[in-house]
Amino acid sequence: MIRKEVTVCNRLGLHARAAAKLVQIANQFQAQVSLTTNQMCADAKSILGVLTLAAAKDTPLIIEVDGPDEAEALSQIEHLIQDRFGEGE
Amino acid sequence: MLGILVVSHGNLAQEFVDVASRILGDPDGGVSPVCIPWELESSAAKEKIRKMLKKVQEKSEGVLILTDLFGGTPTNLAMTLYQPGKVEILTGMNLPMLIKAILTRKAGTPLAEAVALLREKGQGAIVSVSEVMSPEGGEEG
Repeated sequence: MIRKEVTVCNRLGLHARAAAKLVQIANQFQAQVSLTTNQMCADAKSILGVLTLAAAKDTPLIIEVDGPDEAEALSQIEHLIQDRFGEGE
Repeated sequence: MLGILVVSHGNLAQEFVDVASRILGDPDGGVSPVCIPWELESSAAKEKIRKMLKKVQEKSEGVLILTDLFGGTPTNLAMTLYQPGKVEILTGMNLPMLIKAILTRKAGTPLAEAVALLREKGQGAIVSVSEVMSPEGGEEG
């Protein structure tokens, strides 16, 4: 199992379309993926779960990945978040 | 694969489908909206639902009809087309329920299981912000 802390850096935070993109990537991997804020934890493969995090801009997020393809899964999810979900701001 | 119909008063069904599809980045999400205009006579409205149901049934294994309001005309008309185990109906749809329905359909979940799951998820996604914002925090939905 590997984990990494990242910060939500896009202006709108982990909103619906951003969450959908993240969940879509997580579902491409066998590994279990969870996202944890300082208040709650969610399965990164469930869009309704990810949305309950209500993670606004600047929220620290711990990504935990456990499975055979965990390194690639973590890499892609981290890149998506740091790329501001492709939103440019 | 499961077929999904969304039936509502006015243009709500179309709007629900448009918004869910936009969020998921899926052009139509495999969901068929049936909008019942206020002025439409009830026999014509029933026919509109029946025609769409027939079309969806031809290419689906089981159909789930999501409606906006229990007791409202769109739901009452849909209920006349209810077939246990073949055409099931969930009322009081919300956007989380519809998003989950689109994903459940893609996952190949059978009808009976989908009905139970979507009822649970739709209800669980109703959140009082004051509970989430309290120091104890909320629970995952």
